[in-house]
Amino acid sequence: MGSILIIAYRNLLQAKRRTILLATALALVAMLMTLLMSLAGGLRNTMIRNATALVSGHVNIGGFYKSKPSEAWPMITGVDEIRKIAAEHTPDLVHMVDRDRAWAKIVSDQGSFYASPSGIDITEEKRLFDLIQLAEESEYKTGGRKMVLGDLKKLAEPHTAMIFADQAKRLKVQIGDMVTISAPTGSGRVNTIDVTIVAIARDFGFMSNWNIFIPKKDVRILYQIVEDSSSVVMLYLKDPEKAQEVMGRLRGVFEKKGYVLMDHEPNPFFMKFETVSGEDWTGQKLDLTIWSDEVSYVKWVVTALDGLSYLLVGILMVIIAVGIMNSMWISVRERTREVGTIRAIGMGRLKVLGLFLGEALMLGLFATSLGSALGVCVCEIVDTASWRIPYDAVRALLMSQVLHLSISFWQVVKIVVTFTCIVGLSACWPAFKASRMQPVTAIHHAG
Amino acid sequence: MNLAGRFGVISKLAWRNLFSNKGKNIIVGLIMCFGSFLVVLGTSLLDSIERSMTRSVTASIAGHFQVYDQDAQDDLALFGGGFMGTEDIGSIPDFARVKTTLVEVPNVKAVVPMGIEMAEFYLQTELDKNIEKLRLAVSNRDLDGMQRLEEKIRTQAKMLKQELINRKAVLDIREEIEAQIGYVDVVLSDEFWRMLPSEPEKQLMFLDTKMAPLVDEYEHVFLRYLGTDLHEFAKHFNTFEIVQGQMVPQGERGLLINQDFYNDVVRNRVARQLDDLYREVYEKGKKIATDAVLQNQVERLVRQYRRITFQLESRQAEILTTELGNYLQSPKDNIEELIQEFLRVDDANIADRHAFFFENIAPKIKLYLFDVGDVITIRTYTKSGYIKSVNIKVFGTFKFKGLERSILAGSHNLIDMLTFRDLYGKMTRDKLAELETIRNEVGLREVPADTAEEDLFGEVDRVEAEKAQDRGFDEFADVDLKPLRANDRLIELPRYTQAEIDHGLALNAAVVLEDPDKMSQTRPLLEKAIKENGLGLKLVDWQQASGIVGQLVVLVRIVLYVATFIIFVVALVIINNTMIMATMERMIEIGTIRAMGGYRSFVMLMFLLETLMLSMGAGLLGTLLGAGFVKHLGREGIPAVHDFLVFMFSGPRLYPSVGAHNLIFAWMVVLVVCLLATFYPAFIATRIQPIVAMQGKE
Repeated sequence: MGSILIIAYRNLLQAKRRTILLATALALVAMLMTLLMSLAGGLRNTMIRNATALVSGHVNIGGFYKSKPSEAWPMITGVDEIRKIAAEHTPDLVHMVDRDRAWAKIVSDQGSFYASPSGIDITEEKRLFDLIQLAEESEYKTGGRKMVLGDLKKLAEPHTAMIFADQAKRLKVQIGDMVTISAPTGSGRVNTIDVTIVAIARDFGFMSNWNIFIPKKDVRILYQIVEDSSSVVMLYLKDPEKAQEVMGRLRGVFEKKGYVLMDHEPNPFFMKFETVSGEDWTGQKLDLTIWSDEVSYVKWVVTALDGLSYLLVGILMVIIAVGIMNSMWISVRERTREVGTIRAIGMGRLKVLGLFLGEALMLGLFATSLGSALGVCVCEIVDTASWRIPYDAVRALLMSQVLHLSISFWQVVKIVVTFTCIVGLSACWPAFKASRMQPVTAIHHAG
Repeated sequence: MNLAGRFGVISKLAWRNLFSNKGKNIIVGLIMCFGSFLVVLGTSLLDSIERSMTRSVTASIAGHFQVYDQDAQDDLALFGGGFMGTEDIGSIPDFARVKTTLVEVPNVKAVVPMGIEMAEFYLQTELDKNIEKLRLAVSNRDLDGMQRLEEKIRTQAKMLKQELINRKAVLDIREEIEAQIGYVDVVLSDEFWRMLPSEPEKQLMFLDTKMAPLVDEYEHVFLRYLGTDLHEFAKHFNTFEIVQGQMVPQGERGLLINQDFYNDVVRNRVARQLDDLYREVYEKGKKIATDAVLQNQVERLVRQYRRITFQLESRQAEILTTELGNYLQSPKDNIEELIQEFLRVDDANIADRHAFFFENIAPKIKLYLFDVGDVITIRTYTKSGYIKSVNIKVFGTFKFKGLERSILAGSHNLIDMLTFRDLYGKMTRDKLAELETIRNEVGLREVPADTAEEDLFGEVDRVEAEKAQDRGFDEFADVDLKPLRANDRLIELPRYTQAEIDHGLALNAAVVLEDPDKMSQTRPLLEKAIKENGLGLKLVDWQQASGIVGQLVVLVRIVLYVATFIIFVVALVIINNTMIMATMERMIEIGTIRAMGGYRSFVMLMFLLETLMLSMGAGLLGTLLGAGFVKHLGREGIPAVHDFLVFMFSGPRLYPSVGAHNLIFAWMVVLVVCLLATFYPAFIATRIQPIVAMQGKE
């Protein structure tokens, strides 16, 4: 085995020019793939970060309350009990909060937009505290100071709100200003409250445009709902990958306790109003989801990016495979006499096959490792540089202000292994041909 | 040897070499062929996508250019920016000046005023309708009718009471709900109905003001509307077409609903979902049996049966029970169970059931939330934060021909400019007149335009305005909500004239050109006209005006060009490699040529010619194959299997076409890549020493 590898290695060195060219092409493609995958990975990370900071836990226990069949309020009652059950049956629970969800027009003297105010209890929201970065005044006000002015803790007081930098720009407000929250509450009624802006946070891509945070109490005032009710209980897990499993378990638990559950539908709550209001039940049903369900409407970006990556890299790999096959082919022909000789002195067919395959695999492994390594370096540099994306459309698609790239070790290994295998496969046919040569004809070959 | 003669020899040699190095040439030929195929396919697809997106933006609402206030706070984004709600793009106070100035610019066909806003819409509830019928029955002394309506209203009251009891459990306003239940109890009492003949006005008033406002049938739907000069719009956006109903008559106020919006949002959900499933199976070729997402969709559809049964009158329900029993060959005689069974569709029966639904079930229910000809109430926030509602007649639905189911072209409904101004909160003639009266009566102060709404608050019969700011919550608790619901009491307003449309406010305006290909020549002329006349406007092309959408088109183009570039770089490397190896194999041949007196240039030329011949042939084959393939796709259409593709294709299918420029471009690219890839190997070949060849070494 060792000798085969050494021969293969020497052959690669001998055909330097060919090796370098093929290796360059392979490395380029491997690097491209690494970058594309890290872009998709970064996007996924951004998505989970945005989703779990703004609208979702890793697992959510939400639900709907209907006082008549054609209604759908995103509201659950008996929250304390639900929290208790969830805590008892989720072993790797790190953190749990419940939030009220609302839908309202946010109006200042100078601007307005629709958004979903989340009612929070700031004393519980340690995780939000960690994720949210308050913006400096200059980020939302022309000529503003380069200092952070607001204070998240003030959300403990009633009639306060935290908004995001782009929203502040849109409303032309700053810390201490008042805005009106105006919410339709059914039967054509609109309830409004005036709140003071106590904090302005940095944006989370375009998703933060649609969310603001206000004290729980204010949402209750807006909708005149009872204590012990909420919209969603959010569970944060030690390992977010286990969300699906935890949701499955909790479904069983809640069903056993006599709660009525909605069938799992992997969509955010606001896409379920229409379905729920068409169903024939009244009262309350719980709806369990995981984080990716609540942002399912942006999943297509990841799908599109993946699709594009695979298509592009697929085409490139076809071209490279053809090139490798061709060059192995020529290599086999060039070395016909050599093959004849080593066969004549007793090398088996399998070993000859191994010789050529080994050469291709070695080239593949070396080139793709180099390419991926380069890719990872570029990815690290770009990621640390936090390069600001210049186009709105790209920012919207990637859901972030800065370019974020991320790739795991195992993904890199996967790329290297896959590419090496493809290279090996494309060398199979020439190698097989070489191994079938008769020693005599091979030696006679004119070269 | 003269030049021509030498060239002849070289070409002959090159030609022969093509055949003597078959292995290499086939590989390079294949790559080139594949490459040119891809370029033809890629560029023509991209062109087609761009064409259809351009059309769905320019032909639907944007025109070729848009103008708006140069001091606007936000950028114009016709299809929405990153926020829910419309951008603050300032306003054009006197549109007439803009129109007269810009229309004079050569190549400008028309300038159409516009303004975009979002509103909620409200409809007359079932109870409202019944009360109205009751009013009629009472005045006609129709005892049978009164009896029937009493039953209906009592049933509704019972349901309402249950709803209120359920609501009491979760709302913090028990006393208020108790009072409401009290009202409903009154309607449920025999006493109430006994009094009806003797005191009809009092009882009807009670129903109208106490019970009716408790009913909530709000569907949580937003209506995005474009206020414009409807007739000018229809004339200059020439793919505009009325589908149902009629155009809003000249000088009248009215709403035109986009057919896509009408089908996707206003239509009964069961009908819509059945349609979606049918399309998934027959247009996208998916199978319910194997697709978990579709299976879920079917499950959900079944649970929506109430949207059908709830609407059926008892007579209709009986007929349908028999029809469905026969159709499904089911012994069941319960309409709810039958509908559920009917809605449980699979791959085999979906087409048939889809057809049955629209033939037999749809006519028996109210298929749309509102019909053409109905009056609906739309409610929105004015610029300064008031809530305003207007009752308006839906005259018809429209589409843009060739852009059916384009997400962009389907995103806006149309409303007349005067109603738009009402809702936007600016003065119209009627309101100015009223304002004038107030001013005369009071005889004191000037009412500035900004606060005019406040001064008018509550004075306008047709437009109900409420100020959202400076009030506590629940400001509508004691407000009679009747005006919020559509009713037939549409106030007759005087017809308006063209001058009124023109001499008034618009937010932005579309500039439609005679010849769209001359956009770049017209742009400076427009800019000059704006500047010289001091219009204070910003001019943007349709791509910029469409906000993020426009950028998306550019982005897709960049991505595809970068991808093509990368593919060719890699192909270049591979071809180069192949060529080099082929050259090495031909050392003896080249050495011999050199030894026989062939110059280096001779060898170089021979190699380049070889490549040129090969790539011309392979490139031609590839481009032809590509053209054939695109032609084929153009006939069949490429199905948009994903919503994003529906958006990109501006419809459910893309019918690409290939132009001569695509073919020539592909061919040229292949030639250039091939020649570039040959230079290095050819150069190596020229360095070969004759002696090497003669020694027979490799």
